[in-house]
Amino acid sequence: MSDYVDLSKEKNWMCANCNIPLVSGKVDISYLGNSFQVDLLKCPNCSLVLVPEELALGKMAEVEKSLEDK
Amino acid sequence: MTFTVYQHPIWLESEEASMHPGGFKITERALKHCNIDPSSTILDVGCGAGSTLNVLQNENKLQGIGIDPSANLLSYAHQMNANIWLTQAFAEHLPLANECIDAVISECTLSLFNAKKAIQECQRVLRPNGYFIVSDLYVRDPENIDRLKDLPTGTCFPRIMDQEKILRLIMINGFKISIWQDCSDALRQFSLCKLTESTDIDPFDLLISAAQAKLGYYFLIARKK
Repeated sequence: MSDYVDLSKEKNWMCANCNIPLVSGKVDISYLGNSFQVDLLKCPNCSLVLVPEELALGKMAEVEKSLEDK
Repeated sequence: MTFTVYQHPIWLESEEASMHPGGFKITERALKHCNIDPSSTILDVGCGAGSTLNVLQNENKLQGIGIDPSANLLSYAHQMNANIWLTQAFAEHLPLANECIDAVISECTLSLFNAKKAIQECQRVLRPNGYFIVSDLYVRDPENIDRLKDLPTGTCFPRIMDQEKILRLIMINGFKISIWQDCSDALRQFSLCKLTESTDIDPFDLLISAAQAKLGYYFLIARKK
């Protein structure tokens, strides 16, 4: 499974709601009926997910565009 | 040629152990179009864990036999049902006599093999007028077929063809086409998680490539001339 989180770089992220450190975990991503799992940082309490900017503006945006063009 | 992707235990987790889009709905739909006698012999090419063979036997009262390259999957299939004849083989070299089979089923396996050789072997073992029932992935935008060639080998993606090539290969090798149906909706229900977890395919790359090549799914029925 793809891992988009380098914990050594991302260990200082905190959940703004729960004030606890984010941890790496499986996250379900779903778009236009297609769903899959990737490893991302999320809050162990409220499950808020951190989507790194590089992923959001890179592959995630490309997937959206490709599926919408389909 | 490696088949390690499809030997991953994750494929056997579901109760049906179905390893292809559409599950058994497409199998049942195809069988309704065929007039298969209960005494017929049906060959499942790439039978995997034997789930389709069990459906044929238990729900359709039809007797099937299966070949698959994976000893692990055949072992699992045998544990699930010891009353089915199974053997380890590739579709390009079927260990069967000429004209001994009434119907061949190939579910999402044609693009795993050398399609031309596999079709020729299926034609050889089928009796005259026998059914060739195929469901598989296909490319609906041939201009972007190269997008799939970059995906890992060991999966079917680099060998997926477009409709015209599939039909031509089947027709020039001694078949007449009875039915072609697009079933691309089945891809949406198929577990992308299983595929990406059993390979090193980046799910984003897979979705991008599949969308650009307009990946679809079909079933067809052809009759041996």
